[in-house]
Amino acid sequence: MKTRWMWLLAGLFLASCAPQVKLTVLRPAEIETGGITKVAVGPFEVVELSEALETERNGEWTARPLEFGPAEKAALAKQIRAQVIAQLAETPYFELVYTDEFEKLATGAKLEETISAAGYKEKEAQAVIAGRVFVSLTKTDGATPKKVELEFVSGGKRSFDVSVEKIVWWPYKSMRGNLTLELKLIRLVPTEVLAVSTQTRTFAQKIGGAPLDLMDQVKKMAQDFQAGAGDAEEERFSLIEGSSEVLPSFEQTLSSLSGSIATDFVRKIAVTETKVALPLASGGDQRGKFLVQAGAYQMAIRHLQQVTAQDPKPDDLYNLALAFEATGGYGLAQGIYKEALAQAPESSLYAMGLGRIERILREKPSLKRQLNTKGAK
Amino acid sequence: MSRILWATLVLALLVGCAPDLTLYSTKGPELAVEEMDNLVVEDFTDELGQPLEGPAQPGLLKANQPLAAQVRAQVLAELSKGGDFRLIPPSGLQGRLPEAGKTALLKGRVRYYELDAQGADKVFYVLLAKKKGLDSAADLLGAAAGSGIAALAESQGKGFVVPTPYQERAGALEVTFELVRASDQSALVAPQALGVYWHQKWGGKPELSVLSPPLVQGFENLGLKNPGLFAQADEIAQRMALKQQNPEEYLAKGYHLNQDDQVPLLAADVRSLLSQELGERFVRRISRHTVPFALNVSGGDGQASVLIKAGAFNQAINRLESLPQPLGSDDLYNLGVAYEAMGEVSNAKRQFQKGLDQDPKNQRFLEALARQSLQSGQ
Repeated sequence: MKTRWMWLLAGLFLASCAPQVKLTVLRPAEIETGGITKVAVGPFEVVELSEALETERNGEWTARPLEFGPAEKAALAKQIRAQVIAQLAETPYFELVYTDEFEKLATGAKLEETISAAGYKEKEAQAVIAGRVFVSLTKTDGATPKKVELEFVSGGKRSFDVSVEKIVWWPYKSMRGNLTLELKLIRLVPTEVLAVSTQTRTFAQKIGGAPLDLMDQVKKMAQDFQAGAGDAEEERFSLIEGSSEVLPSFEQTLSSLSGSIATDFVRKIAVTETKVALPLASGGDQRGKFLVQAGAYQMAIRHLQQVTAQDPKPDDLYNLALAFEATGGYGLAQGIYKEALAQAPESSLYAMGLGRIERILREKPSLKRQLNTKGAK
Repeated sequence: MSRILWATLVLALLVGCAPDLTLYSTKGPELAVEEMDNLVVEDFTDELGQPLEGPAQPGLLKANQPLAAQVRAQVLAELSKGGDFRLIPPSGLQGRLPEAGKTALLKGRVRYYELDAQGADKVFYVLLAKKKGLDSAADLLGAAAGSGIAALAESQGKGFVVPTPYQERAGALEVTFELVRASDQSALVAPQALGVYWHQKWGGKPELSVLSPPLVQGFENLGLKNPGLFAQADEIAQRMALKQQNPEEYLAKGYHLNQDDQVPLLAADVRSLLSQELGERFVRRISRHTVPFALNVSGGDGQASVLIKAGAFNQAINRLESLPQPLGSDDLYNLGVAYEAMGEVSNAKRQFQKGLDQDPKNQRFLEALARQSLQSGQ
């Protein structure tokens, strides 16, 4: 129990305040896609699209559903398709084949029919991605009645304090969105569905409304703190910030929901470059720490090797190992993390360094195999 | 900053009892299914107007919404995760059909009932005026007595009537799956009928419902439950750590999206919740699948424990193997967990068995051995 507390507090502290170093690492695909190197993005189809504006006053509800024709659905499908293309273009794993051979087929079913037909011959692409989308968005404008206690005070000699309960209608606006996206990677010859991902992303935000009770306040506070982007540079998601006092537009919401699913799908089927933020040890030699933080890894290594040769403090050893890790010297990094841990046997920070190296070494064979088989771009 | 401190403190309190480590173990299919290389998932059919078995009694609910496309999408995604079958599109049957004797067909008949109700309940409010400024004991006593009297009066239909808005949603999803051979349409397993249910009301009077009382009770008994407070807090803590350590994965998982649970779910949320749950349950029956196990490894050697929590399993094994033998119960357990995490089932079993030999009634070792047996298919 106590350890868990310390882990959590240490983790949160490290996460929020401690200096960090940002590295780009390659992660292997979760699903082996067997020799596919050239991929085209085929048709995306909006199966369901419903948007509504609801109003509630004195318990009377009115709903105004927005009507969408084929043109609006096609535009949405195109927008989501473009996000998948953008994500795929960033991976070193696949070569994107820009062809309209598949896009002109209106649905995934037609695509499957075409490529399964006897006599079909693949042209440039070896596999094609098809998508199906289910969307629902609702904005609500209402007012909730709740009893509140109003306090009255009068001054003077015969002062009296009273409180009077009143019913107050608390106006609010809220928005909720749900997007389910089915993405399939289909090999053309022989026809086979190599990977399917069906994921749902939801979004819910409320502005105003009746005061929350204590437990709900705490929950909301924690949720607000956790939500929002972790990294400001991730603008491609049109991020919906948790702290925003304004409800986002439907378009903004859709973009965030579908962008997140597209990224996750690409991570499943392709080797991806991922930015990770690793904590630096806050103690020890300041110059060495700043050099690692600034990304001057070789200078940091030279400096920290001298420092630790004279006085091997665990924080300096950790930062030295981190610099080796950043330059791909995983064997050296592992040895030095171990030295640091030997001095502080229960340090979660040093143990996490060893955990990262083990993960990298575990993933290395599949990463190498995938990059060799596919031939990176 | 004070918000951050508050949130940290509250989360720390809630997460105190959460597990140290979650391992994923692979289990075989729950049903004995003849080995098939290929699987064609045909288009599922919606049976609108047909009665459901229902959460209370058969026939009370009738299918009123199509959901076959989403259920099929979820089943496909789950099958893709398991990797037991080569998935062939339905149109593959018309063209280059793989060997029919090794190909199975999956069909699904879907019945979905959806309740999407909005309205207002008549809620009674008794309003009090209180004299303040008394001593604190009298103040507290007066407040408690006043609130009690008001609540009693309100429950008896006294006071101001105010139409109070509510939203109520429910979903009942039942699917019958048939898995047959492509060659002669003979059944590979008996038809599988599965049902999942969900119901919630926001606002108004919680005790009232547009559904009949037996149905409300049925949904209460069989419906999916929201995660508890501890589970929610642990999840928030994990997401916060991921946000800082790996922002891209955090975004890819959609954790950056605001989730205000004061906003009622949409009908679409209920549909995706139920179709995902049902897809997972069915695929567990016919395919390999992974099961999470929450483990606590805090006892024993401190360094080995932090290494396991940090995912440095090899280092933890080296550390524990180098300690003076024989190891104590906690260290044996942690060593077994580290081997298990590395996928070394026989070594893991050996350690758990040693632990059980030391203490034959130890529940942790019994559970761990049962887990290894499932994993090795015994």
